[in-house]
Amino acid sequence: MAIHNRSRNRKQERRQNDTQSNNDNNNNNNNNNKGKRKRLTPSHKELTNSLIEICNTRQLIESPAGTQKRQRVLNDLDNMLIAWSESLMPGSPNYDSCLVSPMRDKSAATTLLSFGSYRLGVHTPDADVDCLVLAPPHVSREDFFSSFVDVLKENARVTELHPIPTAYTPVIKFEMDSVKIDLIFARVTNPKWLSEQRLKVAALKQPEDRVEMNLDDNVLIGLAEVDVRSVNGVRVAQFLLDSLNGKEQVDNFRVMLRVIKEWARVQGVYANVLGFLGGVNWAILCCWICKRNPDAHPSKLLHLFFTTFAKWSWPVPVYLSRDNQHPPKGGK
Amino acid sequence: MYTFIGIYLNFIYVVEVTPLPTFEPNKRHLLPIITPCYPPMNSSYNVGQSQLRRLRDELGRASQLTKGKKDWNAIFESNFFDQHANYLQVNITGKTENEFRIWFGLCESRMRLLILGLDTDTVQAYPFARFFHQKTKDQYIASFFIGLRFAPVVKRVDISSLVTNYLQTVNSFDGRTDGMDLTMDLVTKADLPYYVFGDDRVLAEEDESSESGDDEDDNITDDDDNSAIKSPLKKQRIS
Repeated sequence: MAIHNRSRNRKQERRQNDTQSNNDNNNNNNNNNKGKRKRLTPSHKELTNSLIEICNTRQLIESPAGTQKRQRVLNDLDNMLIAWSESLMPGSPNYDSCLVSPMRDKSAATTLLSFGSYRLGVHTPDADVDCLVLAPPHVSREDFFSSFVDVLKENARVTELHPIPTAYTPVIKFEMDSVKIDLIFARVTNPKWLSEQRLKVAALKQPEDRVEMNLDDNVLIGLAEVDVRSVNGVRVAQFLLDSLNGKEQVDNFRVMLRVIKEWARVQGVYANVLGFLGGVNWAILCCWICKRNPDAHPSKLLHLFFTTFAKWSWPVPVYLSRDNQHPPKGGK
Repeated sequence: MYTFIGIYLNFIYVVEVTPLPTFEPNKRHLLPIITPCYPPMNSSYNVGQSQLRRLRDELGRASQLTKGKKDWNAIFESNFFDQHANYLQVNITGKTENEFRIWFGLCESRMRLLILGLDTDTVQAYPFARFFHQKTKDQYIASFFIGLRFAPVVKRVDISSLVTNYLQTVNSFDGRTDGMDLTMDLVTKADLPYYVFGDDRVLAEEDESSESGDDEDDNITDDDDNSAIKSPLKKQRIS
């Protein structure tokens, strides 16, 4: 992971050195010790490197081999889902024409999208991959929890299979080649939107690269409430990454979020289910700090994070955006 | 006929997004963090008074520790188990792995109820959101700790009355089997099990290197016999 834009960093270091030598000159007149102490202050680069070092020693960052394995599992899962959704098309043996409408785009298949820590690029080696199955209209949630669960059951690579269809956000939990996966489902009722998005992704796709479909507001049209809830995770992850300005800010955000998450875990304040904050919450808070301090380095961002939210006048809400108060207008 | 259906479907697609319940500030929301996409929702609606207090404390402490920003390791050291004189230790146990997984999931998901019950006019609860897992020869154990602070004017607090709500809820679980158990002990700071003081990232490495199969370590947590706590909760077992 490249953390810095080098030239910019060098410039900043130079600037810092200049101010330091000015300070030294001033201090030399008054107090020698003070000047020396100033010079010992580590640069931002050093501080950031020591943060990355901590991430490494605490084993928060996955090895390249681990990342490759995850990508392979996700690609295979994507293909399994496509094959399964095609088996539900008319003409295929499993298709039950009584249950679904005969009007559909024949090329419509499922799309697999990731969200959560994996999507944000801050996952630890043992983290679950959160995934959303975006299904075309002919595939129902019932299919997902019956025939797709059967597909998983029959696959030798899949273990620890636990479908939870009654959860607030229904989920299938399992491991594939020991990679933990939380799979949720949403059915898109607008096939036109789906095929348009699919074309966009196909145009962008580089070989070997995973390009994720963009879930704009139009995806919500006609969606059931449980489906809106299910697509929300992907939309939030997308929003966070898009709202940061360029690679450098995304990298700063990632270092910061990794450190914050580990800090919160160690201090026993990380767990949504126990009434503390979960991954999404920490990510939103980190993004809020990053956006307001676009020029700050990770070490500064961290201190600002702790100070800002320690002093925050709760229950004043933290908003990243105010543009989402009303349902988006319907489009085609 | 087909034309008609085509028009009809197009009509459906321009229908607006169904308005959904969105975040409205009220007393329920103690620490609202609003999701940035429609529908705006409070992503942290689970936060209670005790958790808010803990979060504030830790954020404030980290803010102090990062002021000079020399040594990042300081923010990864927890002082939680030095901070309180009394702790409630909750042990969730199961005989088989599957039994434990189901039972643990249930007890964990209702834990907020326990925390809520403990935080009263005379008691402040300080929950620590990390489970300490152990495996002995015949059971799986997960231990959870809640720091307790009592108002100085109060001479005696009957903790057992504060935890009944939680106990009743987990007790009424239909899928409960004989192997699924839950115990609560009031422990003083001095009687806390050793494992709460370790850095779990370091601990995990040590465990791997000393995986020689001796069960000695596993039993150290079994401090039922040597804990001399006078509490209404000592060895309160539910079954």
